[in-house]
Amino acid sequence: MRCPNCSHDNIAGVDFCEECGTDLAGLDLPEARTGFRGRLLTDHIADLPTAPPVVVSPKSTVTEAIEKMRSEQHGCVLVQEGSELVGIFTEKDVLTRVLRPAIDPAATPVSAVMTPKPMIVAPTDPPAFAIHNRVARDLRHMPVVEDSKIVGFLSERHILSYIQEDILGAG
Amino acid sequence: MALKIADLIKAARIRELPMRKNIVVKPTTPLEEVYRLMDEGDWSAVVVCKGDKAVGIFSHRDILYRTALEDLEPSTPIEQLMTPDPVTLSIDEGLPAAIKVMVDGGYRHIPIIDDKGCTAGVLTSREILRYIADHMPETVLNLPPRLHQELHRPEGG
Repeated sequence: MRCPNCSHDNIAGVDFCEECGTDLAGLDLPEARTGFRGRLLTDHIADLPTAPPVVVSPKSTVTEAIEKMRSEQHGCVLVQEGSELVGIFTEKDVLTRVLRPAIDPAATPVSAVMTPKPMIVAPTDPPAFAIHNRVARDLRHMPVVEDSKIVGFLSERHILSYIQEDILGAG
Repeated sequence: MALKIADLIKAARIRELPMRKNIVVKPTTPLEEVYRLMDEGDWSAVVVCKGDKAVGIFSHRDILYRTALEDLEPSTPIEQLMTPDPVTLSIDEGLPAAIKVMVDGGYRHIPIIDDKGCTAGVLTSREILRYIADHMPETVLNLPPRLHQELHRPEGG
């Protein structure tokens, strides 16, 4: 959580800010609120317009992963081994981990260029978590996982769409 | 905080939001150079400008769809690969108009045109979310700890 005093982004659950020592314990409980601010904490990610996940196996080649992203019109693929989510490979990784280092996409398994153990959200998490992940952690793609099973996929566009419908659609 | 966030977003003008100003290349810039700029600058897109006018945009999405698997010459000018005539908005438009363009069109970057008809910068979806988050830090940035943000494996598994 971000320290209100010095803005240091502490790991979740610390009692005191690691940077300036401010007591953070009392800040863990958000107040109930009304309006959009309240819904950001009380709605669930399951209520948002999420997309079905696009999945490949770790042994798939990078070429196969890119072809799947193209055919499914998706900015990333989730890498699944058995029923377990083991990684994520995004359109940004295409540039930074494949094209720039000039690796051969047809001869490289996606497991070699994916981000392992990606951050996830749960269907019961509030939308505020997703915005937090985008802004504070710079995550644009979030797998939605329930009981270790991938149930959906949330992107920045889904968050904007939710904001548009909830704030702007209502007015 | 008495101000309602919904009213704040509805009233916000694009000119109040931070814009990316320097992510500009020329139509003749080679693909290889665009890749390098995007990678090293951590930019998700470049705006292709002829003089002061935005004539195209080239993003991670264009790389995915048009260049990733194609055996292109590194010297290919970016104007042959960009998405031409991007949707632009005036700097006097409201934030809701920008959100609508992004949601409806699936864009994450909108070149913003200033009073003189020149490209003033690029508004990104990230900056919009950051703007909203910054106006309710206690809701979005200070969140309670949670236990399941990473995948759990059995000990030693």
